[in-house]
Amino acid sequence: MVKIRHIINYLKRKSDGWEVYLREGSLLNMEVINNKIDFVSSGRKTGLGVSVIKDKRLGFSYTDNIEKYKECIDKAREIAALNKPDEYSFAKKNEIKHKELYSRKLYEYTREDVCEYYENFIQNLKSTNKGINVLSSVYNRAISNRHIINSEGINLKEKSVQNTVSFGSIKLDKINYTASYADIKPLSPEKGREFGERIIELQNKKDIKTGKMQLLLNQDALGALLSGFINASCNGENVLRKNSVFVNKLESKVTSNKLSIEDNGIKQGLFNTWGFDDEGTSSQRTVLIKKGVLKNIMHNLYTASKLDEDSTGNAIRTPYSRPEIGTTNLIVREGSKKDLLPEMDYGIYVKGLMGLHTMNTMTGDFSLTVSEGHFVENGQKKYPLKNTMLSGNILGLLNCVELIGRDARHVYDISCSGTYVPSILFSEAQIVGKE
Amino acid sequence: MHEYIKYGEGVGAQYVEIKHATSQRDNIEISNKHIKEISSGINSMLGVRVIFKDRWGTAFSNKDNIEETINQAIKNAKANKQKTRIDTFKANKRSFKTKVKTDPANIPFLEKQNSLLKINRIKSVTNLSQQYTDITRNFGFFNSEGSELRWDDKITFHMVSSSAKKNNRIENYFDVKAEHKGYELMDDAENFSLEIMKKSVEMLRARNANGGTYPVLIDQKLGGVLIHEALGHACEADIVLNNNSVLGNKLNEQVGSANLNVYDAGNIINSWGWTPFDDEGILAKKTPLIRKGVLTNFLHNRETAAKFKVNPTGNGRAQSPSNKVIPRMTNTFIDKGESRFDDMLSSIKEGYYLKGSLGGEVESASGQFLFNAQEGFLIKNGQLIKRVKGVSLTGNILETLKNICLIGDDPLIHGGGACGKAEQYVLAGNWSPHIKIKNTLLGGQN
Repeated sequence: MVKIRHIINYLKRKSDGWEVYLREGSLLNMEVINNKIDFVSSGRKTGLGVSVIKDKRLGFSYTDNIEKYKECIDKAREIAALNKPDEYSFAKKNEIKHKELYSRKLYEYTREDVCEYYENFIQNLKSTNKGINVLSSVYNRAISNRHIINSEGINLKEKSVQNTVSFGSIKLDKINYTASYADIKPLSPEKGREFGERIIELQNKKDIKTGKMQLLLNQDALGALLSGFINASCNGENVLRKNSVFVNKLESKVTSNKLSIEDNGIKQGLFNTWGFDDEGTSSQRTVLIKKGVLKNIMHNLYTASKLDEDSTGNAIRTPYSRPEIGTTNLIVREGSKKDLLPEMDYGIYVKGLMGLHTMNTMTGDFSLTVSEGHFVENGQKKYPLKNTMLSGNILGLLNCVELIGRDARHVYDISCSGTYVPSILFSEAQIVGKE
Repeated sequence: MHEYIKYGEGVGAQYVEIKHATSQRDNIEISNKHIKEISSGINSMLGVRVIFKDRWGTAFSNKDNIEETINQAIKNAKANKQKTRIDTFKANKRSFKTKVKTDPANIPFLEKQNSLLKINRIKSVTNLSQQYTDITRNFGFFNSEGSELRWDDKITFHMVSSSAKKNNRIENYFDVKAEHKGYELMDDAENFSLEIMKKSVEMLRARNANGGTYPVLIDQKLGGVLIHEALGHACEADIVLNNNSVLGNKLNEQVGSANLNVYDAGNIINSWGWTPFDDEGILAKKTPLIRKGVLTNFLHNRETAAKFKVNPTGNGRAQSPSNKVIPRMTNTFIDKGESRFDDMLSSIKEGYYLKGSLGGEVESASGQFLFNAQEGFLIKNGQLIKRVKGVSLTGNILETLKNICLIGDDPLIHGGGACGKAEQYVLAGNWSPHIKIKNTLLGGQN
């Protein structure tokens, strides 16, 4: 059997610098069709990514089959010879400030435990209304062991766990409800009731008139809109390539001064909280926007060295590619009001948006359908919405923040990063309706 | 593999399937003249699917421990709460191979890299990003029926994304060329990139569109995505069985205009959604979904076919051997019509011409869909007046299919992308002639 030391001994022979990124995953995938578990799949997957630096040139190769590590390393060397010299480096030994981020209990749930949680969730959901049926849902649990070793003396191991659940279709009469949820813990059965109540509220949808009005985005809708945009615009690689709306905007006002946004990889209990990033740099808290002013951009080692900054611990990768840049947990600072609904005069309250992957994350332009939303007048939800579209630009929206809620929570977004945001009330948004 | 299938049957499985998939990939990403990443690697996956006590169980591994994987699949079947039944078919023993002119494996990395590096930016373009990937894929399928199927496939992929800047405004345009082809795909790379750069510069002049209800003219790409999203998903038999399709009770009924013909065909060699055999060992075929506006068929895997008492249609697909096999489209397309493009355009007094797609989404139960067009033009009195941006169209399948009033006579251009369903992505082809749709709700920023 191949051991890590065999790989390292072979790497040491001819390279100036090297890095091994090994990830072993234990995966559980379940599906529910028509309220019952209908599919269970499990397995293990190992991925090895090898990077070498020779004469300032970097080469990278990967394999799923560790037995073939020699071919993989040879390929990485062959590629290094083709690459151009550049400021490539591997993480220097640094102090990992945060260890043991999770309680061990999180790894001890068995397949049977997770199945039971899932089934109880569905029972709870159905208990809110007899007519509710979970037509399709997918549950994934991944327990990963990362191991990063490099020629600079880094030798780090960390275990993490992620549970993600998506509801492709929950039905109640004519309502077809879609949602997703993610946590480090298995899906909690209590969540079922919460989802059930949201669905019940969507009965008897009505059209709305086109116009400009107030917009209240709950945590799910705000997180989904914001995450893709911040990941693209506050991204060191995009800034370096002049491909971000935030090029040359450091210390400039970019949003309403009510808004503060940070990336935080060390806050306990969140989705992407870890001791170190995928290059071995210690995780940290990075203020991106403070009171509307752009303060920092996220970096990995490469973009940091190109722009004469330090890595912010935002290197994110799989074994099958070199590190890119991404948020760990994106956090929007809470405001003071617990409930923003009573503060609204006339507008819509949006909890779900459809078509998020069609948004232009670079420019921030979006044109989306409201899948879960209500018309609001004088602080009261009047009726749920149908045929309603929300169009605009995220920066435009972030410049008309009226109030921020004191209700931040974790939400699941399509990029699978951690997002922890409150509700926000915007003073004006373009709504297209059919009435 | 047959000794393992015997092993699985020996420990009580009623049906055993063993699949393997390996892919070797060379990848180059550049941004302007900077090499962002060069990589090469191999992924492999072995999957086992069993029916044990009438329940499906699946397990996977990327090590060669097949017996252990079979044991895991049986354990997973025990945790499954739903029973299944499938019919038995005769064994298929076939091998398929994608024919290419130039095998990318024979092209040195340096040459691949230079073909990207030699492309120069044009004026106003601030960023030109390119990705080149070639993949050699090998699939194997073996089951209790005695089937042995193999496919040696090649895919070459070139993605170009261009950002243009003027004053404070940035616009982006991208396109992908991806086919079951060899390195010959790159023959026209320079022109392909140039067209994309020009588009990104033109986008700087685009205005926001007015939201509202209009007639629209839709190009081949967007038409393909529309028929895939708006019709195709609702024809997938698992969705129908689950009472989750707006088309569920519409079989043999008129659902579209009388000039509308739609097919799903996995047997078109070298097309993007080419699936010589599906992930259950069923050979590909052509299935008419709509004939003269009448809904004629649904798309099946083994399980849904048994429930509907029909033959499987070769649409049982999974992203990888670890995933659930569900009915998926292969190539879905609207057949050629009779209208000339100019006539279609001049029939519109005020409306939009929408091209390309930034993606879409559909709720198959309600039939509600949303698409974002990549390009848009305002039409007034049959003339293209100006470029618009950020246009999305939304509607309901049943209304929209009936609102397709004109279908173009233009040649079909194969296209496609990656289609997501139940968190699994598979290659799906889709295309269409130009079509005109009445009364469509558009979202715009004005």
